[in-house]
Amino acid sequence: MALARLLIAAALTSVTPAAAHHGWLWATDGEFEITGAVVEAKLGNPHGLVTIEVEGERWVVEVGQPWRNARAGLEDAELTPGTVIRAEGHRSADPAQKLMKAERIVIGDEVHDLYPDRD
Amino acid sequence: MEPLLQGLAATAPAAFLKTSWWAYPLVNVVHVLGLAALFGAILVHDLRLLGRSPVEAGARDLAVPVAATGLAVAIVSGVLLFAVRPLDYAAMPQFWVKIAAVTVGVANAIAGEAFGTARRRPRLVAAVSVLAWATAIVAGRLIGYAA
Repeated sequence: MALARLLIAAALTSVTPAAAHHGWLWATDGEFEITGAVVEAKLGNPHGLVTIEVEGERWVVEVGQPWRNARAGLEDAELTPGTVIRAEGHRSADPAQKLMKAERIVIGDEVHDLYPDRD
Repeated sequence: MEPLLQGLAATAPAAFLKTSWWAYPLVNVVHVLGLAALFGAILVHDLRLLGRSPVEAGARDLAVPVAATGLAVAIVSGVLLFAVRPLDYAAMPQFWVKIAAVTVGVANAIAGEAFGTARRRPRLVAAVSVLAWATAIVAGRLIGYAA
């Protein structure tokens, strides 16, 4: 019985650090940012992907699911082709892959924080 | 095929799941519960075929009904999940591996029961079963990593 309680306590206290890395393990640790004009936005469940053109190259930026974007005040209508956005977050650990996962999307003066817990 | 898939994505349930905060995770979780019930129950059934169970291979209990129910739940929820991004999933090899594995699993189960293969070649039926369903689960999980 005491062992069961100990195991449950250990499992619960280990959730937070694990949750902080879930979904980010494929990316590098260092902060990364790019700025470019939206080419295409494929939003909706389960993953939102925004393709932007950065100095002639196409990068794919993972944004949130509808609930995450809405919580950050990021509306689908703000990601129309031609809009310039700055994506701050973490890039793929594979140097050849032009893919990053955004923690914040900045459009003009507005900062949309997709992962407030990660700041 | 493309216009068919686009049509599927445009249906009301698919469009709803694409934007809903709660419905998509719910269907996702239901899909996992269905496949979990299927796999767990079918393992018990296959262990009997392999002679590794104190219960006889032909025993009629809840193993097969639970597996069949789990499969039905997984298929219905799976179709809904697929409909949210059909063109994306149809372009993934992982998706087709999963469909093939599910097809083999179902065909093997039908052959086992309806054509008596489970009685004549129990080890073969059991081995194909475990391999097919495990492959389906692994391929399904890999779909999630292929953004």
